[in-house]
Amino acid sequence: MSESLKKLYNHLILDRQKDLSNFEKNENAQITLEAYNPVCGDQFKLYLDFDNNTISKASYYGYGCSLSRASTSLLVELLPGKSGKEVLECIQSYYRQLEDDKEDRSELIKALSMAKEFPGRKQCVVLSWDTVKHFIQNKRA
Amino acid sequence: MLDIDNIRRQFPIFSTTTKTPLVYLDNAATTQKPLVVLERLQRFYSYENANIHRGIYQLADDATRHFEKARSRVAQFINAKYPDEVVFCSGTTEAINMVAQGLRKYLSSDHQLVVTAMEHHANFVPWQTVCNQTGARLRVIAVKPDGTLDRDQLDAAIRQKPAVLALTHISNTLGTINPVHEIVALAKEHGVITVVDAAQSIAYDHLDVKDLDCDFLAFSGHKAFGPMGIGVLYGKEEQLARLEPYQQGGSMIIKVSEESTTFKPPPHGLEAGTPPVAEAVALGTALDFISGIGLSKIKVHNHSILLYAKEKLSSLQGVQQIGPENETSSIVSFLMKDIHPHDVATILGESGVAVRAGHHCAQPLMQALNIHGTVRASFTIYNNREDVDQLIDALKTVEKVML
Repeated sequence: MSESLKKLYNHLILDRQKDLSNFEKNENAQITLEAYNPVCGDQFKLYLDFDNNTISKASYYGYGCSLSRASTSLLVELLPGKSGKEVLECIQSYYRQLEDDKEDRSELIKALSMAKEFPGRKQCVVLSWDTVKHFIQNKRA
Repeated sequence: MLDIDNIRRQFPIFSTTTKTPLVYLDNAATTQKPLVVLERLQRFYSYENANIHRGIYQLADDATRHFEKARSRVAQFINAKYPDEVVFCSGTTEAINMVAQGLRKYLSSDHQLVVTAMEHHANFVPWQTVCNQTGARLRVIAVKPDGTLDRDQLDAAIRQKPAVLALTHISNTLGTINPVHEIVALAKEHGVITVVDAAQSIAYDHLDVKDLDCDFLAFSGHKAFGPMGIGVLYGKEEQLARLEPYQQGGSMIIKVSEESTTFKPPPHGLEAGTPPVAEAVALGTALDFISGIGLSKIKVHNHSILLYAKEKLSSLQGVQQIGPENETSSIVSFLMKDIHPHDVATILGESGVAVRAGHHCAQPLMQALNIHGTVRASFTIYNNREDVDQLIDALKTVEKVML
């Protein structure tokens, strides 16, 4: 097994994709977004509740690969308590951390950043992040 | 017995020195190209290049001759009545669009078009689009959980005399071989125009359009050891003549004035613009390559590799094969426990094993089978048992990594 494969499929990603916290439907959510990748069929519903302009609750449900699940799980964990502006900052910071190995970043993001080394997998780790980003940008516009 | 090692040596891609040798099991997406085809392309562009059907000089005349000879070669390969029943186009997708849009003027809300849930998007979306444009209704025939067509539903739909039946010969996802002869015969009894997607069958089995008696048949060159960008629409002479050209422009016209244009009859009237001449010529060479080995022998070989792969896959715990047990071409689709097909494909790719993963451009089929995607391995003449063994070994790695 190659070193890059080991780094990508490290236990943090594999544990994270099996971690079911925040993996739940919330039909009553104020906002339901769909993160969909037509290439692979990955499809998540992202459920967001707001209190004033701050996200009070976030969860997700759906189908995806280990990378899209782990990255979505991380996203919904980070969202509560953030305003629209803070959400965008958080997403931009995540993108920087994926690209730049000089960034101070968690072991999980280090593993997710390996996706770019593999053909066709870069999209998996930004799918849900892009969806939330577009929603917040449109909301603010 | 075929000398597979010798055949394999004719494909430069297998001789490249990468860190891991290529185990190419994505032949349903595109086949690799033998040296003769690559050399034919190069020879055309090096020594024979000129535009066709217009130049009054020897080089142009020769280029036209090579192009038309390729048309005859295709006609002979599929046993068409006349070379002019062969229209060159970019591939299966364009061929089917050409028929769907070519028939558009005849369609209205009085008509029904029938497709199946097994179709590749290339034989689904063009029909859905023309239905939206004309008000015609699209009837989608169900696929049973075993991956075969619901024949009762299909036969009943045909008896209602739809305008068109568009059907794949072989499922690109599951390898299901549809009994197209029987189905086309029934459709003919009821006056239905039949369109057969032969993308997966052109390099798998003998196609005889006279015997099959379909009105239209489409395939791509690149799935038959030929270049990308060249494909074929076969149509019965009288059926091609009914098609409205879906593209207009250069070379497809007889007379143009400010007020009106007269189109050439098929096939040239359906080939607007400069066609991929070298690619058409090299497609002829690819068909020669197939005939040189013999399609019957290719089929026997491919089937033996498929059976070996199916047997080996069955011995792996947690691997679920999707699709019919028998009556399949050299395609096997499977799932591995609850591991996402793209995770499987990434890890296989790291071991040098190229497979396809995902919905295989057949989302209605995925919905019908209630799955999100599969891993697909597809075999052809240069694959051997060692390729399958490497697939199996790599699948064991997947398990180690993911579980």
